[in-house]
Amino acid sequence: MESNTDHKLIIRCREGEEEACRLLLSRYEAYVYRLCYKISGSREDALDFTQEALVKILTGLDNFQLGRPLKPWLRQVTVNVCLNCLKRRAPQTVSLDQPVADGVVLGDTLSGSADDPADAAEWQDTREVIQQAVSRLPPQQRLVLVMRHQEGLSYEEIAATTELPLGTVKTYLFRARQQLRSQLAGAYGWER
Amino acid sequence: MGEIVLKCSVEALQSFLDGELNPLELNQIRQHLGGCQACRQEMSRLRLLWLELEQYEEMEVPPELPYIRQQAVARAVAARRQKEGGLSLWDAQKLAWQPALAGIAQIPGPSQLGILARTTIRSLPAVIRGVSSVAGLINGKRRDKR
Repeated sequence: MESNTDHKLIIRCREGEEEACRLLLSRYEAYVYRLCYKISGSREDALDFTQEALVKILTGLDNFQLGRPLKPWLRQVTVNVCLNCLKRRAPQTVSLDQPVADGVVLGDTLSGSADDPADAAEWQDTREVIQQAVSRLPPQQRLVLVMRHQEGLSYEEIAATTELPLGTVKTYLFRARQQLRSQLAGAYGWER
Repeated sequence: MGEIVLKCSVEALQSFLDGELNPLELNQIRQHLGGCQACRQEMSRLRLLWLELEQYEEMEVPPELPYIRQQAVARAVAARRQKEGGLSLWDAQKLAWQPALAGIAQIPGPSQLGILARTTIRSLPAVIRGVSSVAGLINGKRRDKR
């Protein structure tokens, strides 16, 4: 069973077995990296944050309560590392070069004929508008947005993970989405 | 959130899409949506934003990740060894030296060393004065011979 295997690996990691550390990290490093990328909005920052988070995970395993699910704990450690790293750094805007998903049904309906290259380019630009708008959000707003839409956490779970008050979580979410909604309005020609 | 039925609220629409409304609030907002075209339109737009945000997760794993993993393991293992090694070495040193120090304290000779040192320091000025007076006498006799 997967949880049993994780459980055994954690025990071996606590005993200082390097192979167990490598194996445990290889299971979760992609998740940690994606989370770091979404929170930082930059590939280079995400790589740095990932290494810090992986070190914290290994050195913090002694404090992990065996029998509890590992992923929420990993998320918590990663979020804390990202927040600490972002606090130490000056805010910066970095363009996102991540790959985007294939065409979406809604996109096809909004951008007109899929055969028209101009329409296709416009749809791509709309995607980029959203991604860049997300990357320009203040780190804490981006963080709660990621926790809600990517991690699927409830407001209370976000508050617990980020150690922000519940009201602040709601406010950040609302402000972030209003900002993005405003960007979409520009892209789609809606009234703001 | 009783006012949802009476006035439009983008915040309430967001909470609705997040599934964060209780049954009463859910009922109220559904009633409101039934009679408010502007909110229905806003809801459609927010749904599009929700879709965009959920697609944002698509990304490749970077090829550097195995290297980063290796670095992280090395750092974590080094930190653990430093922590454990430092403490156990100190404890081992204390344990190794404790019997030896206790044994030395029982030997009569070494316990006298401190008294000898203190006495020497106390009488050092008199010794210096004595040596210098002897040296003065020797020099005086050499001068007389010349």
